[in-house]
Amino acid sequence: MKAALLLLTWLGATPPDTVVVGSDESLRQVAERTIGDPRAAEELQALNGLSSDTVAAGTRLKVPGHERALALKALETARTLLASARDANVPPEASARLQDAEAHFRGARYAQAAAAANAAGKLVAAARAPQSSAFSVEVGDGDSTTVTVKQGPPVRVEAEGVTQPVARGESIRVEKGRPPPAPPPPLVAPSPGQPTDAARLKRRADADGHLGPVKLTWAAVPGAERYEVEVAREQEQRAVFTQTVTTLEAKLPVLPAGRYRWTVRALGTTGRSEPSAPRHFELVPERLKLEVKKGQWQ
Amino acid sequence: MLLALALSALPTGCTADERPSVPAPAQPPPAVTHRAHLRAVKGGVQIKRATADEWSPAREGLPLYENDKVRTEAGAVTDIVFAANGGTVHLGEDSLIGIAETRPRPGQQRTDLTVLRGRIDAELEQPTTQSLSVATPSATIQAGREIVFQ
Repeated sequence: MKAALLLLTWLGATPPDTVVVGSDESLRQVAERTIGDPRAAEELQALNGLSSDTVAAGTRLKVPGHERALALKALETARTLLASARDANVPPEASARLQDAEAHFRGARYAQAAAAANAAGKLVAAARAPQSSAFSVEVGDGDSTTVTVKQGPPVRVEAEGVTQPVARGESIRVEKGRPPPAPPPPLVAPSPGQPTDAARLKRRADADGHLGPVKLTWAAVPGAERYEVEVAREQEQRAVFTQTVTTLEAKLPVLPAGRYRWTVRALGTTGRSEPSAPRHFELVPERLKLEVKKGQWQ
Repeated sequence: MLLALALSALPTGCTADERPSVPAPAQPPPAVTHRAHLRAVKGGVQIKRATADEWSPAREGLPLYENDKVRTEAGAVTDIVFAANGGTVHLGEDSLIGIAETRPRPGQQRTDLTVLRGRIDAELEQPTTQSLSVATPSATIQAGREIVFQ
């Protein structure tokens, strides 16, 4: 225990390793020499705040430490999980989180990369976990039967020699003496509109330093009656804002500055769609121009 | 003397194939299969046994057998927990269901319960290993593991 604490203290206290660029050595070569992978040149560039991949001989560069190894391990695990679950129902959010992780990794933001990769892995694992089955059966007027599947794998409804699968979120009504009708097609995920992905939104801060307003828009989905919007901090799972609206836009409340991720789902009588592909935006405070009139006080 | 004794021992007017038939022992009554039990009984819930003509009040934990019927009054609900697969059925108010027979019959789908009126909400914790089949006057609903009788 003591040894582990000492190791942690040592890891935390040790400054990042450095390396001196040799003569006629490119950044790719430095990456290969120090990290063992020439593709890590992009990380070295980000880590050292270099504007290009050319670097003068004799320059001392920071090289990533143990944090990179941890992030790489998390990233490889997430890649494997997503690849092995290709045929299964992988939530689109998991793929988006993996993309986030890859971007953070290339930008040498290893802690964020590890967090995003772990989140992607968790989403895949959750989607793979067997779900319990829940459904309702209601016998109504004229002995008609309404079957609604709330959770889990599809149930099979048979009548007059015809079997119809009813999937989660779907509902069908079978009239006596008639075969079960084909369920209506499931709702598709809405296509996000504004703001564009990775938009940098400058907004004025209120008295508490919160920024806004931000308006999210998306395209209409046939059969949708409502839309559910979810906004979360880029590195967090928990939503900071959720709203169900009947229009094709949602106005967010004022939020602290930072990076956010948002998705929208369509809701209707046939259930709810998958969430849209996540969109990202960054909220930054708008700098007010201070204009001083020319005069005796200037 | 010996011949006379042997002759007297033979049945008169009866060949070996025409021996009087011995009455077969009475068939034992078919075993009553415990199919499910009641749980979370609230309000007016009644049960009618397959062998009874009258409805009687249901109580918590009451076992249910093949062809028993359960009905709920307005505002009453109960759960039915199936013994074989652990599936749970929540019986809503003003409903009537029957516990089905378990005997598999070739060419027929297996059924756990029949909903004659009202609404049920069914749940299977492990649909990969459990199954539940519900019949109604107009359809048969199969959930969970698929069972095919040859």
